[in-house]
Amino acid sequence: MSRSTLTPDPRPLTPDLSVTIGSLRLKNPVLVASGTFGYGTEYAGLVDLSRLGGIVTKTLTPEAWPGNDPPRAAETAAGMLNSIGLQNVGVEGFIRDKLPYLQTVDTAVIVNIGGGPIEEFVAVAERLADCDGIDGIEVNMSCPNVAGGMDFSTDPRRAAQLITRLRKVVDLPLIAKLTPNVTDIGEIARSVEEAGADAVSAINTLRGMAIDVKTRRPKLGGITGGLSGPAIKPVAVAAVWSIARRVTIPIIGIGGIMSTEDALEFLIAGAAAIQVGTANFVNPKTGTDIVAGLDTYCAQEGITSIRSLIGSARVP
Amino acid sequence: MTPPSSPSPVFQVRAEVVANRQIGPGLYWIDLAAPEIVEHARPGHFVHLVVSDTTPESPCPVWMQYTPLLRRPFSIAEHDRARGTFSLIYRVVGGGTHILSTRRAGESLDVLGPLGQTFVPIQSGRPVVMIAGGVGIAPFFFLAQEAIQAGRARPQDMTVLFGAATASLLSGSDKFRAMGIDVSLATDDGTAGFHGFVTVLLEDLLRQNPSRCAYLYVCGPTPMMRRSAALAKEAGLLGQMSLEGIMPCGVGVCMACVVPCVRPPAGTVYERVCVSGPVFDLQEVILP
Repeated sequence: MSRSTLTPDPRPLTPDLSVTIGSLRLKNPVLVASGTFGYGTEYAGLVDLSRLGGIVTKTLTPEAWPGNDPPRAAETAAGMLNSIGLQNVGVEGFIRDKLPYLQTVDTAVIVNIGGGPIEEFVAVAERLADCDGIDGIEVNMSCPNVAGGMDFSTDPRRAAQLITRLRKVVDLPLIAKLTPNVTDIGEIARSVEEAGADAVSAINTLRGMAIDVKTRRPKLGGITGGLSGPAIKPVAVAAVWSIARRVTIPIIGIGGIMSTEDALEFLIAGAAAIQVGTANFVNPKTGTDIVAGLDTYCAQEGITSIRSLIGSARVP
Repeated sequence: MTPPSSPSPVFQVRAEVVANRQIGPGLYWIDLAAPEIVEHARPGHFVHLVVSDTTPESPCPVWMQYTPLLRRPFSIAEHDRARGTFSLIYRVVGGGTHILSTRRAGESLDVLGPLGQTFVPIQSGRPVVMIAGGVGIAPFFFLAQEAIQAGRARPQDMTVLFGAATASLLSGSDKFRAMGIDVSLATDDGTAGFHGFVTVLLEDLLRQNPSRCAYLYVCGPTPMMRRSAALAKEAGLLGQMSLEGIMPCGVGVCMACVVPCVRPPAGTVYERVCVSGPVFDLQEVILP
C-alpha cells in the first residue's frame, strides 16, 4: 500500500465559486458595476481582469452623450452623490474602440444599455446583438440623473413594456437594473420577470441631495443625484431580500459593497452574484480581493459550492 | 492584445510616509517613498491618495478604513530619484486633508499614480513664467527642477510669480531662489512682496519686460487662472494651466471631474480633468 493512500489528501479544499445568471455561467459571483469601471481598459494595468466574474460596462446610448453640468460628484457620510448624466461614447464608439479589447479578456462582458424612449434601448440592444464577445445585456431602467431615467422602473407596467420589447430582439441574458426609489421594489422585479427578464440587478443609486450652506447652492450641477457607497448597503441588502421573496430569477446584488463580508451578506440575503461599484474608485482591486476572500471563506467554512450560500439566511 | 494605455504606467502602491511637516499655517509638506511612481513621474503628474489608514493590519472594518470615502488628488511637487521619494504640498481645507496632516513618518498611504497629462517641458531659449496662487505652486518645483537637472533650460530663463493671502503661506519661494530662479511675491494683505493680486505682477511683466515670457504656466485659484489666461490671450502668449477637480476615480472611469473645453468644430465638450488634464492649454478650458 502506498503512503499516499494512508494519509489524508493534503490539498486544501478548492471551493466552486461559479454561479449562473440565466444561461450565463460566471466563474465567480463578483462583477464590477456599470459606471464605476469604464469599459474595462482603464483598470487593466492595475487589476487582473480575468479574475473577475465579469465586467458591466458604462451605460451606452445610441449616440455619444455629453452628460450633465458639473459639479458631478460630492462626498457624503460613508458615500458619495453623483450626477453624471450618462456621459458615454455611444454604441458605435463602444463597438469600434472598446469592445475589441474586452473580447480578449477572459471574463464575462455585460453591456449596460440606456436611452430615453423605448426605441433607443431597442436600437442599442439590436446593434449589440450582432456583436461577438458580449455575454449579457443589463438594462439601465433606473438612472436618477437623466430626465425620465427612472420612469421605467418606478411603474411596473412601463417596466414590463420595456423588457417585453427588448426580449424580442435580444437572445442574450437580459438583466433589468432596478431603482430603490420605489415603495415596493419586489413588485417591479415581479413585473420584469413576467416580461421575460433573465435576472434583476438591484440597487441603482438612491436619490439624494447636498447643499453648500455658505453659497446655498446644491453641491451637484444636476441639483439632485444618486447616492452610492457603504451608506446604502443596508438598504440594498433589504431590497435583495424583498425581491428574493417575489421572484425565481437570479438577483445580482449591488450597493455599497467594499469587502468580502459585504458580498457574503448579499449572497446570504438571496443574491446569486454581486457588483462592486463605488469601491472601485477607492480601491480598484476591491473586486479581485473579494474573489480571493470568498474563496478563503468557503474553504474555512467547508463550503464546496458558493451556490449553497445563495438565499441561505437563517430567519427564525 | 494590450489595452490602450496612457503614456506612463500607473501603480497602486503602499507608500511609506518619510516626513510630514507643517511649513505654514495649515500648510504641509509630505514626503512619500514610492520608487515605481518616482521613476515614471513627470512634471504635471498627480497622485491620488487614500488619506486614512488602510493597512491590512487595521482592526477596523473596510468601510471605516475608507472614511472619508474618496481619494484626494495632489500634484507632485518634487521628486528624488535616488531616494525613491516624491513630495506633495497641501493645505488643510477639510476633513480629508486634516486626517492627512495627522499621518506620521513610518506609516503608509495607499497611492495611485502617476496620473494625468504632463506639462510641456521647459525648453532652452524659450523664457517661461510660472504664476502660482497658494498651493498651486506645487507642480512648479518639479517643473523647474526637472528642466534644470536635465540641463534643458537655464534658471535665468525662468520667472516665478507667487501669490498667497499672507506671507506665511508663501513657503517654498526660497527653493526657487536656491535654484537660481527669479521670484516675485504678492500677498493679499501686503505682508510680503506686492500688496495685491499676483496677476498684477504678470500684467506688469508682460507690459514692461515681454521678452521674459515666451510661454506661461498657471496654477492656482480659478479667478487667478481666468485672469492669467485672459492676459496671455491679449499678449498672444501660449501656455498651460493645471486644474483641480472633484475626482472620485482619478483614472477616467467615473466621468465626474469634467470641465467644459472648447473643441472646434464640435463646440464645447466635457473633458475629464483626471485623464485629459489636469494640465490643459491655457485657452481650451472654459473656467467657471
